[in-house]
Amino acid sequence: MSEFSAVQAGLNAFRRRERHFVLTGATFGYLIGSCLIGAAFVAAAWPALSELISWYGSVFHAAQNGSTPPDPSLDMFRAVAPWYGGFVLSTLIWTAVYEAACLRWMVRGETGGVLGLSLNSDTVRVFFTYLLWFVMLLAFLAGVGAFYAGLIAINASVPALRTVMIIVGALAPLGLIALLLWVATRLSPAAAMSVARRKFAFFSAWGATREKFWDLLGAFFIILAVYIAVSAIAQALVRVPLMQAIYPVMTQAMHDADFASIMSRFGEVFASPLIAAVLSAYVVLTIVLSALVRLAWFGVNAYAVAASDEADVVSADPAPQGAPPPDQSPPAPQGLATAAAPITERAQALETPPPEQAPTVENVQAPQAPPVAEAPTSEKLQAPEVGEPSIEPASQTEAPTTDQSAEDGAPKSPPPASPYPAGDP
Amino acid sequence: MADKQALNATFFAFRKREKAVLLPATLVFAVLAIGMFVGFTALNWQAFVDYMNWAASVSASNATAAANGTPPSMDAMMPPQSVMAIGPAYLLLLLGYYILLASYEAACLRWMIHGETGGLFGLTLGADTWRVYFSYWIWLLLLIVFYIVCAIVAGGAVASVMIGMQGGAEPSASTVIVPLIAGFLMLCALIYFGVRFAPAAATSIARKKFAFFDAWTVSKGRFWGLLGAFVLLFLMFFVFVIAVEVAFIVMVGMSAMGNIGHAEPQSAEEAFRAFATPQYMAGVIAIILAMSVASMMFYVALFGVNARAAALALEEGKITGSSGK
Repeated sequence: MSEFSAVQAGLNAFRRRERHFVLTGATFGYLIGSCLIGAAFVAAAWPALSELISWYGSVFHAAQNGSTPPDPSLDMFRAVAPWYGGFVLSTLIWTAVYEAACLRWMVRGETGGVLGLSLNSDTVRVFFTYLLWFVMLLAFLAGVGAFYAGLIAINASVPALRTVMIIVGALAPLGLIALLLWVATRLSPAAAMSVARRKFAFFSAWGATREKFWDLLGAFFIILAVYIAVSAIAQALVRVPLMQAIYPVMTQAMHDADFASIMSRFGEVFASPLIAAVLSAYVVLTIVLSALVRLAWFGVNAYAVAASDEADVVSADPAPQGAPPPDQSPPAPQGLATAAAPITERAQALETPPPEQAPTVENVQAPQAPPVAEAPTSEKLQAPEVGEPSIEPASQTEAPTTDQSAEDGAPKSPPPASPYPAGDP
Repeated sequence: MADKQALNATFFAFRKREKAVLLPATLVFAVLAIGMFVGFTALNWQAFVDYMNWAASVSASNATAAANGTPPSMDAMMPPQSVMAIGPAYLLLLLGYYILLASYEAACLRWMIHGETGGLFGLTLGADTWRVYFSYWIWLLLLIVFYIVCAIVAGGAVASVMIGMQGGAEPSASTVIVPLIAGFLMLCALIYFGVRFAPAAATSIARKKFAFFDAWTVSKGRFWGLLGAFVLLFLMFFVFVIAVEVAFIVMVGMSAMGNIGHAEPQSAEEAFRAFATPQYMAGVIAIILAMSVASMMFYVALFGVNARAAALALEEGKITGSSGK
């Protein structure tokens, strides 16, 4: 099996594919849809929300005047609750649409709908994956509660076990969080697995991530590190002009505690062209960064599914019939790129044709691709990781990975594990 | 895979090689780092002056308030704008400094592992530098994770002690021992993971690609060798620091005592004058120089330990360069 690289997994979403801007388009569509959902929520719930906002304002006024803030009315929350529930549900569905679109492209190489976004069976599978995650989280929390209740009960009823209970209680949070992290990482490609298999296959992710826990965790860790690094640098850059601008207001606040005038000064500061531009740039950067993190996350899961598929293919048929001797076999790129054969077609994929005919993977809709014999060399395939994740030559048994999706039975192959220098999504 | 070799890494950086690369790289790094800090100080000089004035005014305001029995003035507590602005500027300085440090570490590791040089006396802004720089961010994140784990363990220990004392039970020895054991275990975990991942940057340089977590493979079976090398270097460094400090205190103390006689100084100005002597200034410069040289040698020695581990892992086939698997 090829090396599962945490860096390549983290960059999987950003590799160059034969069509550009598929993920970018889907992300734009998702952001626009999210804004529309938010706007629709505010518009629909405005009568209920306005009461809530008025109450919030009255609390501020009360704090300013030194009077007692009014108690919130339960009816206000009851009025907002259904709208908010609808908002959360819509957001979840829309996110499922987006994730399904991204995974469909990364795992199966398929697009469709508006900017890749469509409400179809993949979306339903991803949505049910979310629901199952939620149920599992509730079950975990219930389990934690039951565990501590049991600990307290044993401690109260059997004093002799007190020391043991203290040790168990001290180490339990660490163990529980480790358990949560382990299960979450092992099952993280659940949605990708369902999209790959074209059926709800939540728990198949467990098998796909066998012996890959640390690599997957490392990939998620790297994504988080990049996110934190870029955020920290952006915040440092934004703080310089912001501090200069708000300092006079802070000084005024020390002299004059008039709430209204201070808020008015803050309004002036934030409306100034420089600060408005800086903050707008920061907001845009934050949105772009969060979108990239989300895409990278999906990419890791897609990578795990593809790598698992490759492992299955290799272990099932390490030496395909009709394959040329190893010295004739062309160098094939290794890693995820060769591993993306749809799982639904694995049975066909296992009947691997000779390398001259062997289709490579990744995109079932790809047109006839250059033969494997013309596969780019490993030097060509060298892709920058964080800079340059290298896609290295595969062992001979790994070279002929397959994807038989052509209706006429002729194997179709996209460019063999395309070079993927880090490009845009 | 080749046979496992002895680590012998403690002084790996100081082995004789065909070219002197580490010394020029270190000197260039030191010059650039000093230049950065001098430039930062020059650009923010007014902020330092304002800070000193502000600190003095806060002190005076507090003294006046205490004498009058009134609360201290809130106006005086507000630092000047230049002082407030120095924080974000310092963050930017740190970002730049760590890029320089990464460039220096990459230069040292590249030379010790691959025998390669290039750039400004080895310092470049190439891919190796960014690999090392990103390793620093991963270290930061790991440190945050460690703090979170510490908080969780501490919370668990406190919760379990509270559970143990339920129902008005007498505190037992375990309520003290359990938190202590938990703290000790966390310290052991910090040392263990710190040593296992120590060659992370060296591994990335060795593999010519970002491979932070491959450091685990590199340090596999070499934990005690690496720990021994680090402990030895830390001990040597600290002994040197203590020796320099003691020598400095004795020298300057005797000089100051000679200036003010054997009487206690009667005022701050008198005490200040006693130390504002050529001997004192020479001592300060000497200690700064000695500590700087020792720190740089310590850094290079640490790089050497990690480089040796990564180079051995390459030789033994535990890891491979980017052209191989």
